[in-house]
This record gives sequence, C-alpha cells and structure tokens, in this order.
Amino acid sequence: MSVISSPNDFVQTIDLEVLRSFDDPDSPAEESLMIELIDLYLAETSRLLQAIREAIDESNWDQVKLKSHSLRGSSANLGLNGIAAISDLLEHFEEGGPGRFELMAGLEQEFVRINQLLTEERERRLKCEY
Amino acid sequence: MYSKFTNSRRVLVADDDPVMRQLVTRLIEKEGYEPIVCDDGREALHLLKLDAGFGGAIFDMMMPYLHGLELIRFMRTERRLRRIPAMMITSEQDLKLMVNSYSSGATLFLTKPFSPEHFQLNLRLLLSNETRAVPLKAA
Repeated sequence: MSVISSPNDFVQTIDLEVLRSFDDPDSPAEESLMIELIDLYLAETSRLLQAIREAIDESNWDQVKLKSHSLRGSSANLGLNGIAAISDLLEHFEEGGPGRFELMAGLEQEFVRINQLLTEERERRLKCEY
Repeated sequence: MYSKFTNSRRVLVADDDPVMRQLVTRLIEKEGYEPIVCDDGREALHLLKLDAGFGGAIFDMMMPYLHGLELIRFMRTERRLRRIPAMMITSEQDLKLMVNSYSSGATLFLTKPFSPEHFQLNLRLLLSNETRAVPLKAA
C-alpha cells in the first residue's frame, strides 16, 4: 500500500545527489554519464507522459499501468522521488484517492520542475561548476 | 564480428527502458565487461536461441512481450544456457516476487533504486557465481 496521499506532497522531492553519484566528475563533459542520463531521461519522460495521457483518454488502463511503471523505475533510480511517487499511485491506482486526471496533472507539473532543474544541472556539469 | 572480450566477459542485458538500459550498460562497461544489449524480452529470447556465450545476464522484470522471469525460466530449461547466472532488476519491493524469481532460477535479485556501488557489487557477485547457477529440476 502506498503511503502517499497527494501528488502535492512531493513538490520538493528531487535529490540531485543521487543523479550526481552516477557521474565521474573527473571525466570530460562529453563523456559524462550524468549528462547522458539527463538527456535520455528528459526525452523518454516526455514520450512516456504523452503515452500515459493518451492511454488515460482512451481508458486503456493496462497501458497506463505499464507506462507508469516504466516512469516510476527510471525516476526513482535517478533520485526523482516526487514523480516516481505519483507514477506509483497511477500504476497501482485505487478508487477513493486522487483521480487519474489529477495524478496526470501532478506528473506534468512535476516534470516541468524536473526539466528546469535537470537542465540547470546539465549546464553546471558542462561548465564544470562543481 | 570480432570482439576483444571472451564469452565469460560478455553480459546480456534486456531492458525496455532506455534510461535504465543506458545506465546498466555504462556501469557494466566501467567494470570492464562487454554489455550485449536488447531492447526487450523478445529480442533477448531470439538472441539466446542463437548465442549462449555470456558470462551473465541481467533482465528487467517487467518488459513488453516477454518478462524477465520468463527469460530466466527459458534459460533454466535449456542445457546450453543453464549455467549462465542471471540477475533480475525490478522496482517492486515484493518478497513474493523475490521468492518467485529465485525459485524460477534467478541468481540475484536487485531492486531499484540502486546506487552505482550497489550495482557493481551485485555484478561482481553475479559473475563470480557462474558455475553455481542452479538449473530447474525436470518435471
């Protein structure tokens, strides 16, 4: 059972240290695994969000579950705990909690924040500002 | 195709998530092994039918077409694949799933999120365990 009651519980839950732990600060920026993961994550999450939105519109719950599961796994592993938690709620959806459209709005809102923070982190890494 | 790696240093990876796939691939390379990467379970199954030259295999649990668990079950029923140790990666913190994985023939079970150190430790364990992968008993 999830301990989460609302997507709004997670507005501050982005842990950049987790993402940084995958990086070797001594490696040149063009070989940085962190930059690679940021680029892949932003592109893939954008694609997943669109797929989830379409699946909700079509009431295709199996697809919602599958895509939310993917989003949860990669997000959690990169320290993006807020979006991972909302994905978890959507994947294991239960009546009586936030509705699917509300959760979708939470995902999109959180992704805007993530996009901005990861883009800034990417710039810092490129400029070696550590 | 020529490869500088011997079979024991080749690691089969199957994950449908591009982010996790890349992460796992790079961590395997960092340890000096050669990742052989598949985008989903079906592709990995096709490859396993042609090629048994792997020192280990790492599968995501939930993939389209064919789940990681089904791949491991297949490997344990094929004589030439039985000895390849296999690690299951999943975001489910579910004891039943873990038990199910081990009883299906998984050598290790790694839950997400994992740190690079945690992954590397498990990779070393997996590849040092090559001769101990336990085949399923015939029904």
